[in-house]
Amino acid sequence: MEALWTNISTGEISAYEQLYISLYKRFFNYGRKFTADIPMLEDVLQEVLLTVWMQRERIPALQNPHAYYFASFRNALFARLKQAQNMMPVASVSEEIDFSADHFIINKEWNQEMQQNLLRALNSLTPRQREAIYLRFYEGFSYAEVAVALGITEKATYKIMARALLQLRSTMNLPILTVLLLLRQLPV
Amino acid sequence: MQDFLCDEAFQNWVLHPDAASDAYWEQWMEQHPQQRPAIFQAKAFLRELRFVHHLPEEGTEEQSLKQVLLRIEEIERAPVTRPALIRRIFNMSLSGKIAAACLFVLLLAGYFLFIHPSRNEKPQQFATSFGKQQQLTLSDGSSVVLNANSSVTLKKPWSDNVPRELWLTGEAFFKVVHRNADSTQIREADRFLVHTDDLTVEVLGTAFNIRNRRGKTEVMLQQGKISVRFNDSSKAPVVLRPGDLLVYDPAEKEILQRTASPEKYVAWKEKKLLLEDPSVAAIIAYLEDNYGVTIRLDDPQLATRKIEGPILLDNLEDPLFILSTVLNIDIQRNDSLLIFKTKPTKH
Repeated sequence: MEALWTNISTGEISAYEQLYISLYKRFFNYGRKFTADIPMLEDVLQEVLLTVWMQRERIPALQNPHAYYFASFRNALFARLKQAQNMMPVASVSEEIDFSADHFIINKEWNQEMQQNLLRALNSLTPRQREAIYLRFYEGFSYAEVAVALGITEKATYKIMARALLQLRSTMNLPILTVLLLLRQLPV
Repeated sequence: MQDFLCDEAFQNWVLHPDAASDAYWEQWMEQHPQQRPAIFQAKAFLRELRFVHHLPEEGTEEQSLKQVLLRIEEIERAPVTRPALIRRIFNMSLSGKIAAACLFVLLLAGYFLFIHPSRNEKPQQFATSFGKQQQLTLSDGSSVVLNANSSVTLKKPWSDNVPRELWLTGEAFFKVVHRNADSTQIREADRFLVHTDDLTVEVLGTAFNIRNRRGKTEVMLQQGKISVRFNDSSKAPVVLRPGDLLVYDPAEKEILQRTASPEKYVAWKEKKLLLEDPSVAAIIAYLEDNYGVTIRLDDPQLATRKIEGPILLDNLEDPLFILSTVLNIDIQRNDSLLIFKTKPTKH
């Protein structure tokens, strides 16, 4: 990854193409957690990834280009989502942009009560907590990178994450091993 | 006591274990044997945090890259600040400017005299026959893709001061252009209305699919926001957000609303059939609606079988071939009547 960014900054288009494909999928997956509006996602993706090339001279000055562009993608997407809310034909309260609890995978084979407990626990987290967990454990970001992506300090990131993980465990009110078995990867 | 769950070094060991971290934590546990169960629990907990994968449709990332490379080429070839035409007019002599102004006035007059739609047109209808799709561009720039055996009707020509309205039978995908660039000042007349037998979809600018078949209407919103009103005034209007699916059957009391994947509901535009419930019964219903055939099964059990994955719909032969192979059946054709016969099993 490091080498890709360096090669792009020196104007190597093949490195850019490679990065494009890999970031496209990751941004798509991330953005899809906030909206199902695929044409909009495509639009935002193109704009942000175009900037990566157009401003390639800036890359060496960025501490962490990877997290930096995650943050730009997130900002651009949120701006578009807010704008879309204003295009509403019917007057409505403006809603929070939400990283929904639906995006966690829950084992459907478990009994109703257990599934519901887990869902309640996930719902009790704030959207930002869910998003931080996603970036840390799905994207494999470090705390420093999560902080850049969310535009907050590293200390705040650590707090958000710690509170989320501990709360998830305590809200469940179940032996931890049961929790573990509930959260399991299923093919989609 | 330290909680391992929240320790970054511990998390890294779980996410990307290597020889060094393995050794470190092994040694740590030896020194603190009472912590061993807590470590195992925390480890398993973190490892089992899982998320839904959302993948783009196959090939979209390459498609997108191609478009961006073209854009880059364009930008790098012509680093112009002002569009070329405007610049040329600016640099013209005075007589040239007058000539350009006259040409503009003439073009405008020509537009109103000859091209601008007259006010007293008859209703306009666009319809597709079985097995055919059609793409329409409306006078406001909005586009409609009509699926087979479907129609849209404009009862009167559109004007800027009244909402745009059309009537749909069958299935269509709409991409509606917003009339008003200023989203803070929305006028009544900016709305775009699609009527079916039982409901009206009301939008400003957005993309959505309506499937009105067998007395049921399904509205799938892909982009923007829409509101749906029902002819039955006892039913309250419903607002949909991207990814929302609304299923309305006047014969049923409940209006069904849930999230679904928009990809599946608009796949027909790419000549692909992707159903949420890919049962043979649902596939058959789709083929009957869109190709004007009647399909009978000699073994009713067949209807409950499922065929996962997209089915190509270039013409009726494609899906029939897939059905016959996957279900191991012979298809007898008698005009528009198709009979699916189970092949005798070999011994």
